[in-house]
Amino acid sequence: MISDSGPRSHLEDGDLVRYMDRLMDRDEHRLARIHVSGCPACTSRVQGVENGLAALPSLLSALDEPVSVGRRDQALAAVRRARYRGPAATPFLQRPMLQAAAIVALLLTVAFGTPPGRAWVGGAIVALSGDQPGPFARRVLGVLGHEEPPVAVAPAPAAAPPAAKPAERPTLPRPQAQRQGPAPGTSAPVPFDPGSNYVLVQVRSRQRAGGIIFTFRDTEQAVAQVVAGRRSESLEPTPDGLRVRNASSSRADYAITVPTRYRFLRVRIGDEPELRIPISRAQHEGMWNIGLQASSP
Amino acid sequence: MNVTELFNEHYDALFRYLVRLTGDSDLAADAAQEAFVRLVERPPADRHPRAWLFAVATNVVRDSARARTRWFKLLSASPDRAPMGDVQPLPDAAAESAERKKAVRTALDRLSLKERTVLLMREEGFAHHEIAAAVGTTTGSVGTMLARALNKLAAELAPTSESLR
Repeated sequence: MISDSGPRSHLEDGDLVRYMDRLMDRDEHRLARIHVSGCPACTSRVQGVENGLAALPSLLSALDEPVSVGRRDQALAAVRRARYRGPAATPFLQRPMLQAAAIVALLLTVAFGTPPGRAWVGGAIVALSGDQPGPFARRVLGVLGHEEPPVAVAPAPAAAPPAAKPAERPTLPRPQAQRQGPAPGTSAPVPFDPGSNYVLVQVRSRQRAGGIIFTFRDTEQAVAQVVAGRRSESLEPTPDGLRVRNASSSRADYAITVPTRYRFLRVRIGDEPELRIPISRAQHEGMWNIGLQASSP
Repeated sequence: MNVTELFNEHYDALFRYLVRLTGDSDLAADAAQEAFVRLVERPPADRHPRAWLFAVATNVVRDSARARTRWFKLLSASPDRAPMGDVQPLPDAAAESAERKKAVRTALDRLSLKERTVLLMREEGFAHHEIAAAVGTTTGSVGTMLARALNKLAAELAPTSESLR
């Protein structure tokens, strides 16, 4: 490539050779020729490469040795003894079908084999299918571990917002709790699924308005996505963590991936006291009920 | 074209290229023979035989260089086992030729095997795409590697009477 557009730019080393070997296309060659003809530095470099290539034959001939007649005959005899065994094997990565298969396998592994990948695929499916995903989308979401959002949500009593529940170890089995859906103003149990180096936190928000703040110090190490819902929800990265802001009557599911090197995930909902959730790699699965009712819009 | 004709047409050029590449005529002869044997056993379906022969012979040299590196490491660990020969005095003309040869050889050996391959295959008249296939790089980077090899060679030979510029 020419290092800058236009005829005034210098030629890079590789371009000098391509220019001399006339391997550039017509326009590129024309630009290079115009530049070289008006640039003493590049003219000198072209001359240097030309001289170098011209001197090579005599230099290299100093290394030549006569072919040994004995070795030559020996080689010819070996060649005549050799027998056809089949076509030359094409290197693995030069086979187009295998290349494509390898790429697809890699994408599937990343998409379905890692929590961030599953969250991303789930989010993409929900984004494409909206709040009413079809049977296939629901099946894929099931494979990904995402429950489809309930069709309707019972409205919460406006006058008496319930207080946030303290963190507690869940006693209900998770699938049943998720299918039934949480009471208005609360979340479903929050499952923690430790992977090899991270923990996937799935939060199902059922609040009317307000925000949640997930605090961890190194925000770029964590991934968060809305995987269902999408009604004016927003995820705002902050220096301390992540702020989830819901609009009125919002329903949204969030998948948040946090590296297991963090010992605690601090969650604060609206003006409520901060909840401190321990993260343990050894713990295979834990669930917590946290309230999502916010007192401030 | 049958294999004997291919052999007669290309063996000498391949041997010359390999001697320049390796500085070892025995290794060059071995690699050239191996490339032709492989040509018979598993001929290429979609490449010109000449380019294929040079690429395969280069691979043989590269594999052999790895094996020799291990061998030299073993020898350096026990120098008593290294085969040694007597050094014969040379006449003046031969000494001068040997001096020149040594200078060029030293300069070439300072290049990486890839750079040497690019330079020598270019000298044998191969196109950039054929050189790229032999060294396992892109066609576009052959020019860069060639320019770099020429610059290095010029720098290595600059203090001597040999000059590329």
